[in-house]
This record gives sequence, C-alpha cells and structure tokens, in this order.
Amino acid sequence: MPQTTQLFGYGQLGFGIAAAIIKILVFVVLFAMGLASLLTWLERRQSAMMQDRLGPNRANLGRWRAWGLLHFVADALKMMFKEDFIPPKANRFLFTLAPILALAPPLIVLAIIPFGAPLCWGHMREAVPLGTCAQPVDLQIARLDVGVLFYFAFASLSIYGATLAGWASYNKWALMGGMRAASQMISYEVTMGMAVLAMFVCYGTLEPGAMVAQQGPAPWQWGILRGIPHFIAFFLFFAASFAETKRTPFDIPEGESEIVGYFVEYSGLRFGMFYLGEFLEVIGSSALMVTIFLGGWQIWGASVLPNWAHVLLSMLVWGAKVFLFCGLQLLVRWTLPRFRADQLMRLGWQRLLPISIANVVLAACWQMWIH
Amino acid sequence: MGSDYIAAALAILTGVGMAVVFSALARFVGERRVTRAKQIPYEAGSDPVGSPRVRMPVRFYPVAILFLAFDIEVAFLYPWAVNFASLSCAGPLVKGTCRAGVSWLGLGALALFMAVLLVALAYVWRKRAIGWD
Amino acid sequence: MNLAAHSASMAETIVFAILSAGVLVGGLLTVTRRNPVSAVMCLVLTFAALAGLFATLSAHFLAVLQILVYAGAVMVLFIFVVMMVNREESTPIARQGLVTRAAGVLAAGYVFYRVAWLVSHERTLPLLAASATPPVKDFGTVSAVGALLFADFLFPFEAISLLLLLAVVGGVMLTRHVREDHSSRVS
Repeated sequence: MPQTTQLFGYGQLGFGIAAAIIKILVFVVLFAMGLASLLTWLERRQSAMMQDRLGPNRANLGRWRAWGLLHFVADALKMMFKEDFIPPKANRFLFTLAPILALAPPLIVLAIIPFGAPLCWGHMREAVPLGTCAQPVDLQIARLDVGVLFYFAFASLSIYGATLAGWASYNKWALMGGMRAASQMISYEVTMGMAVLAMFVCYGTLEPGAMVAQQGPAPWQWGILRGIPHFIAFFLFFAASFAETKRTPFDIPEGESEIVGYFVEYSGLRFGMFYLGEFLEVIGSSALMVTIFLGGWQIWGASVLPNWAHVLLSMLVWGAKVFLFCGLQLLVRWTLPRFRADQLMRLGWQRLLPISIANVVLAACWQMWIH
Repeated sequence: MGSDYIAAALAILTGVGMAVVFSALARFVGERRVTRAKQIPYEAGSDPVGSPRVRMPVRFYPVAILFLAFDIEVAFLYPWAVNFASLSCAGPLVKGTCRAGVSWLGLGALALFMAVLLVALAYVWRKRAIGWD
Repeated sequence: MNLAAHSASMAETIVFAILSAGVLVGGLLTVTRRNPVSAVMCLVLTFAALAGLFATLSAHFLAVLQILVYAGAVMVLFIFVVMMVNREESTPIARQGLVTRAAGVLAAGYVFYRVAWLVSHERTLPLLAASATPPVKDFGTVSAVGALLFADFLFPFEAISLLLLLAVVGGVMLTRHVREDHSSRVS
C-alpha cells in the first residue's frame, strides 16, 4: 500500500519514530535498567569477594541459587511491597518529586549514547565497510548536533533530586546531606565540562556518533591516546564523574556507614529510585567515557562480516567496555577511603579545576602544533 | 534533525514516565501502617532537638556563584572548541584541513577569556571562600 | 504530499501548544506558590518548556544551553539562596491587602491588553513577517553559533568574562562581610 511505505519507509517519519521506540525499549528499558539492577547485586558480591567474605548468595528459586543473582529480584520485590512512608511534616509534593528527579535524568541522558555500529537498512546480509552505507540506521536514540551537552544538561538536573530530598524530608541531617550533595555536585560539574573540552578541540564536534566514527578499533586509534592532553582529560573526567555520581570516595552526602545522608527518610521503592538512579548514573558516565575516550563500539570486521554480524559484535564489544568500567567504579569504592568534606572541595576547586583549565590550553596548543 | 528531536522527546517522556510509574508503585503497592514512633524525624534514635528548618550556611553562596560563572564560561567555550580548527586557520578550511597559515585568533580569544576567569578563581582562592568545610 | 505537509504543520501546532502551555502554567504556578522551593521548581519547569520552544525554532545550541545554564545553574543558585534566607512559608505580597490586589489586577489586565494587541496585529508587524522565511540549514548548531560568536561578536564574548569576574567578586564580598562579623565561630 502506498500509504504504508510513504509513512514507514526508510527516511520517513513513521520509520524514525518506530526505530526510536525500539531503540528506547532495547537500550533504556532492557539494557540500562537491567544492568543497573544487576549492579545492585554485583556491588555487594564484588565487595564481598574483595573483603574475603561471601556476600549475598542465598536467594533462590527452589534448588537453583544462581550464585545469588536472584537477590536483585528479591530486593526489587521487597522494596515494592514495603510501607510507603512520608514523614508527617514533610512537603508531600517535593518529597514525591525528589526521587523522580533522581531517577529520570540518568535514564534520559542515555538517549545520545551510540551503542553499536550503524545498521545498514536493506543491506544487512552483506559486508558494508563503515561510512559507505546508503541508508544507515544509527544505533543511537537521538543524533543531536549538541550531543554531549544534552548529557550534561540533564545530568545537571539531577542536582535537584538530592537537594529536594534533603529539604523535603523535614530532617536536619537530611537537609545538611542535601546541601553538601548540591555543593559537591556543582563543584565537579565544571571540571567535567572542562575535561571534555580538550576532547572537543580534538574532535571538532559535540555529537557522540561522529566522535566514535573518528576513532578506530585499535587502542592507538582511540580518543584517549590521541595526545597527552587527551590522556590527562580522561583521568580528570574519570575522577570528576565519581564526585558527580556521589560514589565513594566522594560519598559524604550518602554517608552510608554513619547517619545515611539526604535519603534517610526515604524507604521502600522511593529509596529504590535513588539507589537505581545512582547505578544508572554509573552506567551513563561509563557509557560516555567509553564513547568519548575508548573508541565506543568500534571493532574490526566491518568489511568482511555481514552487516548484522558486525552490528551484533560491535554491540557486544561496547557492552563489554561499559561493563568493565562499571566494575572499575565498583572496585574503586572498596579501595579508597572516603574523602573529608574539605578535602573534597579543595580537590575540586584547587586541584582538578586548574589542571583541567591548563589541559584545555594544552589541548589547543597541541591541536595547533599537530596541524 | 526533526525526527531526532522527536526521539529525544520520546526518551524524555520514557525517563519521566518510568520514574512516575515507580513513584505510583511505591504509593499504591506499598502498605500504610501509621504508628507514633514512625512519625518522629530520624535522629539516630534520640528525640529531635529543634526545628529542621535551619538556615543554610552562607559560605555555600560563593561556591554557587563561582559555579555559575564557570558554568557559563564552559558554555561559551563549547562553540570555541568545536570551531577551533577553523579559528586557528588563516583561511577557510579546505576539506577539513588548513591550507592557509596559522591564525592566533583561536588561542588568543581563549587566552584572554580564560585569563579574566582565572583572576576570579584566584580571588576566591585567596579570600579562602573555597577549599573550606 | 499535501497530506504530509498538512499533518506536519498540525503536528507543529500541537507541539507548540503543549510547550507554550507548559511555559504559561509553569509561570503561573511559580508566582502563586507559598513555598519558595516549590516556586523555584515550577520555574525550572518553565525553563524546560522554554528550551523545548527554542528547539522547535531550530535554536539547538540555545535550547540545550537554557537547560544546562539556566535551569541547571541559575536555579540551583536560587535554591541555595532560598535555603539560606529560609523565610517561613507565607502568602505572596500581591495577595495581601486591597491596594496591592487591585494594583495586581490592573497590571495583569494591561499586560493582557498588550499581548492581545500584538496577536491581532501579527500580520502587519515587519519583524514577525520576516520570521516567515525558513532558516538556513545549519542555523542554530554549535558550529554556526561559534562562527558567528568569534566573527561579529568577539568583543561581547571577551566582555562577558569581565561581567562574570564582577559577579564572582561581588558574591564573595557580600558573604565575606558576614563571615568577618562571626569570626569567632569555628568554620
């Protein structure tokens, strides 16, 4: 029927919307939420192994224990059926809004992450070298010109989640935790932007898909090894993203082993939203680092494998890289002790920020020297 | 570009929608049992002393102002970074490479902009308004 | 083709209606909240809808900057200030007393009259007529804004750094005075 192909043919609006919906379902709902739930279990198990103890391995379905993997299902069910408690003097609207502002932004920022090689529509059984496809379907939910800025914009909205949680709980300690969280997150957000600026000078674009396309499969073709300032930029961004996601060693606002910071009055699934949001931020920052610095989905075989195999392989490679980074962030949690509040602020404003500014100037000079 | 914005809008709707669904699940699936002990704000077991509406210490304010200044600075540096290749070229770019000579406009504009903001950072540093707590 | 064009412009109108409703509702909610923190969050909603409107006008960079800088940084500053001042929740000033209420109604009426005049004379105003031409292909992208910024607007670009320096110095000076009064307090 002419009407259907006019609406759903390649390049038409219906095709774009259908593709976007499928990508959102596969990437955000299945992959990201699934990995975040898995990370809640993995954190406990990995920390246990590092600390020479067993960790959660009891949850079972009858005789099948699956090394404790089912714990994340058990946790999710438990959280869902827990009592929904709102402190009596709390501001109900803000109390309900805060977890939404903690969970929604990490899900939204995944929209610009490319998670696989472009699928060549109509030529999926042939080998299609990169860049020669006539009708590519980018495995990226939204290919915006402003790319990474979209990520930073919505990441900056997650500040409100922590601050409002502290304020709306009507609890002194929660309020202080919320204030600390806000000042910590804003201190490191500048360093994140500055660090990636050095990479933008090199790539000349803000669009993640274009950035990955400029890199290659081999490690010496990745963004991180393009020069000294880019190498430095990686470590700056890595450190700043720890503070932004409030992971140890920057987890004073959470204060888990002490007073339990800004989400102390949250229980059940509302707390689960904060918890999931944190792991989603871990995944999001890992994905962004892999995209900008580590070659993204680039893998050999574009000109020999059929397109569908190449796409599948690239998705697996990308997933492996992201998983590695998530594991690394979990590892750092149990390696470094927590920073004191003044050490944290000093590190952000008086060490990392000057270094990142100098790095931007260095990257500009490097770029001029190379060309 | 249009369909990309629709995709981005769908992603935003999905994110917010999932968060709202979780919130609704918490409200409707979780039970409610009101007891007196639960109504007291949590203060590690003791009874709360005073109102939690304490004023935020004023020393957070310079941090926020400095963050605002640097956030705007970084925002202005994004177009600079993206255009750096053409800004450091004395003539227009030919297929992505510079055929004409070197132009110091790119580096010069950055240096001046950055220098003024480094003065701001140095001032705040000297006055010990950051690096405290 | 006619069907596609017609449905496209209808979709545009619907999107515009939703976003402008968001802006208006957000603005109204902001000025009618008793709780200042709620008011700030409603203002964030207003800016988010405004960013959407910028995106429909092909101002991509400006749209994302609206969220990144305005909703993400300026509003955080507002929240800090609200939490610092920490007044009790109270009725907005415009709702207390007969004179202020009358003045408020008059002001709102005048604004409404001006907007209505603008809408009714839409076709005769030269500025609005010029906006009927579609923008160039790269309009509003980061590189396009950058090219313009460093060509025609280089001086304002450098001047902005001075403005930011002024803001930082002013902010530190304001709070420094208070700290010296309470210098006997630790931290």
